[in-house]
Amino acid sequence: MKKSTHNTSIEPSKLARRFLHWYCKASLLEEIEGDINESFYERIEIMGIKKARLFYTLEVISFFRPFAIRGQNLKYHNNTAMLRNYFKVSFRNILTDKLHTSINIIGLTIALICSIVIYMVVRHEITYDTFHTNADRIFRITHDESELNPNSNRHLSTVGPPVGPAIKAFYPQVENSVRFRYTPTQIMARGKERFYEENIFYVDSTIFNVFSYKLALGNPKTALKEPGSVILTHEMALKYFGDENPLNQTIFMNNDTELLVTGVLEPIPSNTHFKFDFLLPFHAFKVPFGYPVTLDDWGWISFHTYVMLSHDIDPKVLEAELPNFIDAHWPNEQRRFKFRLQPLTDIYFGEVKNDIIASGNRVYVYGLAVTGLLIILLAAFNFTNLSTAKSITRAKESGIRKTLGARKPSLFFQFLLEAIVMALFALFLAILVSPYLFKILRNFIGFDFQLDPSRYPALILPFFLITLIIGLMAGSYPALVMSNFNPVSVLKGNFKSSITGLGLRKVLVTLQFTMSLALILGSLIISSQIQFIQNKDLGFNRKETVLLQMPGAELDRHYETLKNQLLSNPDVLAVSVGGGRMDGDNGNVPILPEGFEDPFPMAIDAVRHGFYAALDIPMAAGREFSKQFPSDSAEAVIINQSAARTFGWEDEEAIGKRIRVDDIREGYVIGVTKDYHFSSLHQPIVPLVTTYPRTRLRDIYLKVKIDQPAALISSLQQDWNTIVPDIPFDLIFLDDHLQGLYKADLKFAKLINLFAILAILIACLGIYGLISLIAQHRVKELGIRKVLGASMQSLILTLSKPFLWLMIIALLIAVPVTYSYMDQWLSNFAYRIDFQILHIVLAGLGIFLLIGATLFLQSFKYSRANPINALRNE
Amino acid sequence: MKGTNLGEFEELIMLVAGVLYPEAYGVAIKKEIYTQTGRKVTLSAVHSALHRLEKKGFLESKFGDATKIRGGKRKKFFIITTYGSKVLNEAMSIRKQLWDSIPKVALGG
Repeated sequence: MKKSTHNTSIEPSKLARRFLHWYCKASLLEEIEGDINESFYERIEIMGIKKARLFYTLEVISFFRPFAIRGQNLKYHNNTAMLRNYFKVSFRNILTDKLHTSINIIGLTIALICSIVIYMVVRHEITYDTFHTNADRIFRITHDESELNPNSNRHLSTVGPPVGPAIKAFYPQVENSVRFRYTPTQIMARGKERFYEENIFYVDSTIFNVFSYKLALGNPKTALKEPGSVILTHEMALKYFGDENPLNQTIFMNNDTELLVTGVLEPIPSNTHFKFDFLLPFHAFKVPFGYPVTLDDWGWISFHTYVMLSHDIDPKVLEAELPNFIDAHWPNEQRRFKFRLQPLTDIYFGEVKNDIIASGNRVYVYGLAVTGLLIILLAAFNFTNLSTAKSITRAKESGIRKTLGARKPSLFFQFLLEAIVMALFALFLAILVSPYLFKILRNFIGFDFQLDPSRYPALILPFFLITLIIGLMAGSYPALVMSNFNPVSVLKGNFKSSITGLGLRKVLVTLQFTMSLALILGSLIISSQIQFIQNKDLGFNRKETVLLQMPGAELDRHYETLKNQLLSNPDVLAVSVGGGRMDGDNGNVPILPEGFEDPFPMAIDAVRHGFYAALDIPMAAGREFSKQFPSDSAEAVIINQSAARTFGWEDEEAIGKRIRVDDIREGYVIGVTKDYHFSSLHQPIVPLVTTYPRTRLRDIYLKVKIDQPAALISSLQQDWNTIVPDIPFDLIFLDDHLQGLYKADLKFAKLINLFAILAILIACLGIYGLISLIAQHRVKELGIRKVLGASMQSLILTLSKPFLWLMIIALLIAVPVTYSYMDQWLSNFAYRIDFQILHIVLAGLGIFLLIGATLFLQSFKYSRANPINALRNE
Repeated sequence: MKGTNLGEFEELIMLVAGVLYPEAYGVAIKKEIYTQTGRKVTLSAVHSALHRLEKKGFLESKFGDATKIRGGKRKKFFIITTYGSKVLNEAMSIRKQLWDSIPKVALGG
């Protein structure tokens, strides 16, 4: 599309360049930058752009030396000299104790990387749809029956087609309105390239006045004017036209409708709740075949409608007036439902769900944020613990500084500074590493965004602050301890390897255990719930069912021949046609059974002969649609057991009852199916009413032998090509399709599992470092014990025992806290696992073994040491 | 004393600056050092040395032309000053003098 995107990539890294400009003396900048540029462009030829950029960055960093850095005339102040000394001493300290320094830095780095990732995910989630300039005054009109209709609790995200224009005409406060109408999968074709496309919408041309979508090509005022025009998203333009200019070219929809491309959208941020690929003018929309409705029908509730209010209009006031609007246009329905105004930015996390609309879950976002916080705390506690434990070795330094005239605040400042510098170094490492982590996550979790360098500036400020806080938090206690030493006793050597900060250390270690336990327990519960979902018996054969999709008109034409062809394939056991895909995407219509006066709004579906047999759905009573009863297609109705119970019927009793399905069918019940899950396990099974299809369906259901999927697919494709070679072959495994219902859940589960592992790693690192420090201080004691005949086991026990108690306390805290949070998460599912003692045992055992192994490893080393080495060293 | 001292690397840089006269600048010096001695030095080390030598008065500099490959930035050419050449000469003669006074046996001859 835009050629310029290619040119930008041979520029050096912007961040590095900015860094150079920031630190470099103005007098030297030109020559230095010129030279670096020159080497950069030469390197591109030799080693390619990627490496050359890396070398550019390295070169910029290598120029960060005194001669090139600006503003160093402070060099000769006394304060700076002191500061330099602080840095020098901390640097030496860091070098002398590499183990603990690296534990601290690695821990902090991992924690910061995790929190960068979590921060990006959370920010992505909570900024859904905020990119629209008018987001604060755009509202979706929803159709809410839950309050006024006793037979219904549905709240729909759509309204009838006339509502959009009518509400704009009725209220001057409504500045504009826009309608979207979904259309089922269509085949889009350009030349020989043909694809099934799902996200095709008919939309009012006011879309560009209400939303902030921008056209990269084409004129927004005229793009949706002609009925035969289409606007493509950036991705679709690439898919169908590659590098060509798509404008004024044509593509075909379903072989019969020619569409002229009149616009191409600029890329849309991925955090938008409404995802579309093709936009067609609303006035080109025709009522689909077999629908008993017109575009003036207020009861055809399937149009997503958004309004933009004038500035300073209170949506609550307007919402309260909406019954008047209903009265004026739709008087007979006035007491049945309410129109509501749902703010655009609330839709993503909103209650009103719909399959076309991406929806998020606040529990996940909070869960991630809490995990991030826990991980940062874990790393900070490590730092505090290790530094406090280590302070004893630095007591002499503090004593001498004090004797030489250092005051307490300056000592405090010195040690705090050390902590902050270390934390900042960890931040530096984290920022270097995280882009790679993002790449891994992309493959691992299917992240739909990446961390490109242009986002760095936005990241750096919050994370600089966070790091500063970590440094302050982790460093202030050790700093306090170290600046408080009494110089006389320290220098006299009286100073015992005493109980400095022991109380606090115990508390922090217990908290660390608690957090790790909570994370393990949480991820165990999440994993088993996910497993439960994936293996739950849904009441039909999910594993051996595949779908072949086909545009409705073609399906009507070719179904019988294709069916016979497919049945001749030995791997195909049964063939039928179904409406829904078991994903809860069902229509909702009023159902009036015999003996009632008010209709019940219920989910509907449509299937052809032999559907229930093909999917192994058992009948509780009666039979399914059959060719032997020609009248079935006109008057037979099948309901599920939930529907029968709602009407107060037993299975057998229901057979033969009269029932009215909206205006579509007036007939009688011929069968009752056992309940099966026709929507995700987030929802309970609700009443379902099924008729023989009268509109066009698009999915052929096959029951197959699935031993060899690859061979199966190719043999089915052969069958397909003998009958309908001109229609693209698209096979969907029903089970795969159903997994899609839990995409958000799976993503969350994977993230939490990953972070739980990292958190435990940090905790183990901390314990490892801590016990080595403790052992070092107690080395004499251990030596004496050994000389006096203590066995190795008892020495290991001496070192580890204090930690074992803390672990038990942690278990007692972690279990109830985790359970109450996980209960909230599990309540997202209508079908969920129960709490199991097994989880507690596993989590407890897991952490016990991990920490135990760490403890054992370290204490083993010290208890095996030759006591002479410890004791002669006086 | 520090002011007039000439380190090994500094001497190398000055000599190379002489070789490349009058077009000695950072990248060129770096490359020349590599072709002449096989030593790989970083650009920043070269700059740092050039800067130091200029401060000591051994080198002087002026801006040259800008090229596209440099992103529109001018080159800075370094030329040995009279003082600089005196110091170089001195270094060489001290060295020569020392060489001459080494007994042949000491060099394994």
